[in-house]
Amino acid sequence: MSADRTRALGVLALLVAGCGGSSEPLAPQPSLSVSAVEARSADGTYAVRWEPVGGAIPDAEPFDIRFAVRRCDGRALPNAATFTVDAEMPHHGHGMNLVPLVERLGRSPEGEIVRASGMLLHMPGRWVLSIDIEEAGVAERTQWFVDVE
Amino acid sequence: MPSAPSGSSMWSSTLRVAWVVILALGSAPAAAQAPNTIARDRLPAELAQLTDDEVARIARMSPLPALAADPTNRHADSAAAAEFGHRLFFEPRLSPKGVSCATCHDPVRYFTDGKPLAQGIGLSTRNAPTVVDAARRRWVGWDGKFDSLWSQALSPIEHPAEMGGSRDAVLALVKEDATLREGYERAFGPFPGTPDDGTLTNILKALGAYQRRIVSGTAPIDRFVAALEGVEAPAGSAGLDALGPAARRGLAIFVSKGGCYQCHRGPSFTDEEFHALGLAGANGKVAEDPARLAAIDFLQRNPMNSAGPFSDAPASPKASMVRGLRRTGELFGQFRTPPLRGVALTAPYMHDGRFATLADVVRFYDTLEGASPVGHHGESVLVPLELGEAGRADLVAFLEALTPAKSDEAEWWTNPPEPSLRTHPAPPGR
Repeated sequence: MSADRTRALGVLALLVAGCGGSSEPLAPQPSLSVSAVEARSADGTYAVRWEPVGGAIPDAEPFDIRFAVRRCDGRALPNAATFTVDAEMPHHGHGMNLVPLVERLGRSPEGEIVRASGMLLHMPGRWVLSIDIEEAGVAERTQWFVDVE
Repeated sequence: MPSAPSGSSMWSSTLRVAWVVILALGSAPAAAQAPNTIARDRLPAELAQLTDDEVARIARMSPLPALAADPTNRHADSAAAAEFGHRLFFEPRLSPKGVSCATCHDPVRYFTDGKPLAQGIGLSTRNAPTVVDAARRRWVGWDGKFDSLWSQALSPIEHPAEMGGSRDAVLALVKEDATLREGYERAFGPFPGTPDDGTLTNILKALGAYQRRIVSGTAPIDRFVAALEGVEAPAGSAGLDALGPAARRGLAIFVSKGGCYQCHRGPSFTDEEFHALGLAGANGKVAEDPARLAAIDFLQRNPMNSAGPFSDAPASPKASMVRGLRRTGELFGQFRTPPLRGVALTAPYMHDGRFATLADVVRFYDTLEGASPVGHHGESVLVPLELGEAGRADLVAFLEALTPAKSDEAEWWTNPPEPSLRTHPAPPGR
């Protein structure tokens, strides 16, 4: 898929899934690029945007992603909130061979900026990328299909 | 709405799952790996029916990128270290029984021994993989027990069934043998430089530096892909004719219905990761070798891994990968996807050398005869290909077209010359 088409899908996802409103005060963290894709979590509590660092998912090589999380009710995400990032191939019955290291980078107008280092989609096919946000004992998942050629 | 993948919940608290966006991201590779494009009008008849995605898989097969640096070994690209490592690689006195690295990694046999199971002092439990292009591997060994060539080097030296030596004996040999000691000192300075234990690590890193020099040259597939991309072939090279009709048909199978490309990806024809194929164990039924599952424990505990105190880059991305390795039951019986460049020269095949020929390997994938159920611990994508005899022969012809020429640095493929012939200067500061 071309970068233009990916970008277009990302913008479409923003329009469809964005929850409006901003979360928290400005901070020095840079925003994600326009091609980042957004979705709402299962119960609509969070809006999450993500993008691969470097702009593309490399072929069978490790990579990092950055994502921005904000609450759709406009409240700030508490510091105690935690994030878990994973990916699996439902049709193959396996996931990634690495556990990504998740690091909270800070806040931006887009919300909490987080980096997950050490992603590896080592086979072509359909992956399901999931970002779980846990707050006060309740976790909500946001997930995307990622088709790797 | 589809249900969540089974086993995805890892929460003791509530986890609610929804599928909110279906997004297809192209696998746009990193810029350095971006393939050139192949115009459809250049495709020979055997490939004309391929889809654009399948043609793109062909473009990604060549060329091999430049060898990546090994920051965990600061001597990796030192000529003096490689020369010392070259001598050590062929040195039978590293073993009390006269077994050298080259015994099982014989240059004449493309740095293998041609036997099902490696034969050192005793019989190993694994086939001897080639050293050619080994520096490109993310993980070393069939189970990926090591994460660098240098950290792997100690294992065969000390393994009782391989060389049966010891680190103390290696240190004593280098100290007492004038030629070896000179080689060490050219690379690293006085032996031993200090009372610390860095001397042994230096010796291992020299072996790693040498093995980085064992690289393959251009293969017919490279000339073929270049011709498809419109790159002018050098005079005397074959271009599109580098692959005959059978190999072209085999290539079409490889990138389409054969599904081979799923694991044998990119210019090295490997995803550098691990899979279970349902190969029966010695009992004729289920596999018994834990392979990758056990290797991860060993690797993460090995003080000579990329993250350890002997690494020259314990904070490198590779070190992070080692720390982040996931240990799950599905890794049981998984072995590393072998690269396919030069595969026609490395018989017999699989981790235990069970298949004598490439035809046997292809027959296994074609029929899955003798495969044991992999249950939920294996690849559900493996199904009999049903290529038939002609299709199997075409696939073998393609695999044979991955045979590279020796590299331009063929001096590394033979016994090292006598020390007096070496002209490499001593490092500064000696």
